[in-house]
Amino acid sequence: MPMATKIIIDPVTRIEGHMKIEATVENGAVRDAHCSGTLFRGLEIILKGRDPRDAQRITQRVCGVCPAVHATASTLNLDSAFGIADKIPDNGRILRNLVLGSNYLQSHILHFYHLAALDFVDVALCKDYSGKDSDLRSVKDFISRGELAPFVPRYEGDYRFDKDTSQTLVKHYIEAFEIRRLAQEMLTLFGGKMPHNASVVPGGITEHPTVDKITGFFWRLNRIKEFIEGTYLPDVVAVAKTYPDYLKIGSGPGNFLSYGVFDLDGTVGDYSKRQRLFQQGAVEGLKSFKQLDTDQITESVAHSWYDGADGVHPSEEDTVPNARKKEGYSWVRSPRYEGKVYEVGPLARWVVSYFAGNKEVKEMLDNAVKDLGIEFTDLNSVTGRHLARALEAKVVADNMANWVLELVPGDPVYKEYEIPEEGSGMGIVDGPRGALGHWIKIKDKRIERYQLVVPTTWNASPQDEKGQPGPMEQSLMGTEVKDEKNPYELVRIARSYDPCLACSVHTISIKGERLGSIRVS
Amino acid sequence: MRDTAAKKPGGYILVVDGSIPTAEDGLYCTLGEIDGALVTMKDLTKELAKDALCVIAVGTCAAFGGIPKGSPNPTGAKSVSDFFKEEAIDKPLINLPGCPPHPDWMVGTIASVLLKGLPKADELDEKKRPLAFYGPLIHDNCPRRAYFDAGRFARQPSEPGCLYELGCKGPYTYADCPIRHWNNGVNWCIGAGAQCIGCVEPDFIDKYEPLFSKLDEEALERFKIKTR
Repeated sequence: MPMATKIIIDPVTRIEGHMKIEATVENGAVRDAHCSGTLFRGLEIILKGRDPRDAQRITQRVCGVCPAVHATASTLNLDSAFGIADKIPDNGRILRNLVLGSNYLQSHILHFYHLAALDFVDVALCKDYSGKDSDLRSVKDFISRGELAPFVPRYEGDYRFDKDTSQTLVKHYIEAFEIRRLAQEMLTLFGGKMPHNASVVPGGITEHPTVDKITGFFWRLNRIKEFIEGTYLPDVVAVAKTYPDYLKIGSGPGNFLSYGVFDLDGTVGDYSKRQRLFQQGAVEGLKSFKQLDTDQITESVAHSWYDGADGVHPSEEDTVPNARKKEGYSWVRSPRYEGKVYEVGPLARWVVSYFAGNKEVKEMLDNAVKDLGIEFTDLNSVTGRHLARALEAKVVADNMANWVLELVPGDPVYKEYEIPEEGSGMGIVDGPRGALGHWIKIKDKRIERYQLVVPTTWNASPQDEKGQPGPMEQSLMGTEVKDEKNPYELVRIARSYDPCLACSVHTISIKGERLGSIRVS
Repeated sequence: MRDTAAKKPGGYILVVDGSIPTAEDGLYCTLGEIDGALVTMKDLTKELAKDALCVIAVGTCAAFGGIPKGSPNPTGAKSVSDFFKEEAIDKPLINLPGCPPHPDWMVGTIASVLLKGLPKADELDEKKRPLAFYGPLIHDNCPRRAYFDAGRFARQPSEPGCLYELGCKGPYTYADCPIRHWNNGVNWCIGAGAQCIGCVEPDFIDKYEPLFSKLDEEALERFKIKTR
């Protein structure tokens, strides 16, 4: 019988939150994989009995990386519970899009340069930099002092860019900080501050579009657009071409789900049918498109540290933690659509929009497939996820430039409402990392039940009651690991999903040699 | 982190982010494994605090418990100071609350400790916050203050006027947000027409819930004293 080796990566670094990967490698490939979320705070329990409006402030504080989309989802949720989902003034709708869009740009650039790129680019090659660029000289000084964090520790062995290209990419790594800062400032113009904007509220937004704010928004956006087109997209293509094997590595379940994002029209109260920039829907097996039916969303807790039934709709779900549950291995639950495993995120959004007939998405994806000389199915991979994210950044930035000009200074931004004695709501929208749903039940004007089903819960979910592994687990399984002491393939796969564990939470025993019990990747 | 603690006892600052879950032996937050055993935030904090020069609790969760400590506190979340009290750990502590805390507050405080050593007693308020950042009352520096004095109040969000009637916590919150502003000085909560929710105060999120409820007499006491 072949020797099985267990690789434990805990914590997985350069992601948001607390995550562990446990992979069993046999004959050089991953046979089984478990992903675990290792932090629980019980937000849904804390929300019970509070004023529904507090959910907007509290839920976005689930995490500082993508609070904007939690602010959006909770606000849409409250709008629907308060009966004003179809009455938000256009200025309010557009400003909400601009706030969320700014966060998309910041988040995508953050993910590629500051979280994922170090898997592909060797920063140490800056040690003999001889040019005059002040950023690169400071990186060189930094390395020469022996200050290597956050660039090491890392897994060694597979850096393919030559010295000059690596140095250029490190320069972009530094530039990306400035670009992200501009995106945060853009959000702040209409949001008050970031993280945790103050202005996106049920009824609309508290801030007015004024000419000076619009101008301040515009120049920053133009600078970011230049960066996306001239730097970000070409760099992602360079990674795709230099690491062509990653078009075959990390394929997920092949089922993709999106709630759509960026409302283009505010008059349809049902979010699953509202006209959005990226479309709602599900694509199974990379072929058949299905309209989004939110009744098909359920969660299971078979292998999560919670008590409760499996296959429950989020609106009916309670949160009962059980830290010592024997079958459990994660604080993340297992959301499923029609009982099946679905991937969410930029790639899912683009595949769904593609099959829903979104012309712009179709043209860009077809061109990318042609330029890279690959098959459409190759997009279901590590590279495909990075590529979809970069293409999306461009489309979002281009559209934001149009939206900002649709603002009408002086027009209303807010619609008054009353909190009902009883009611229920649903807020669904895609965030940078994928499909996000908030559900509320109100009784005596207070929260009776609140439930969040967040993107990384979908992607990093553990096995469900039928034994179906989650998307990230499926991506890891079957992967060849060239060097068990440096499992760079596995962290590249995990990071391609852009996991963000903080809001997702609201390893098998095979005998074998255990490698470094704690490895920081 | 453990290497630093072993190599430089008394020569490092421990920065704690997040409240410390203490229920279920701390299993609600684990930070990796050592020799196959899970390491809880609770145990790691205790271990690293032992030889630290001082401890900085960053963010409202670490400083005061924050949202996780909100009723019914399902994870037994504790602030660093409450946790230290319980564990009988006696270390100089600086609290930098805020949800999130302003980067200037963090960098400024850490730089100050590095350059000038531990803060003197009169440089911190009674809640161990540096007065340099948490000294002024928001209400005293608010650009909408004149509306308050003139009795002009906004009736709904997005209106001009003082946001007091809409539950603004500016009259009981101490921080320099109105002067410093956020994200490179671009804006701040009240600047965007939204109420201050008092995110740097120990009472966040329970005492003045709903967050948009109007402040009571007791809360206004602090502000009266301050402005007389």
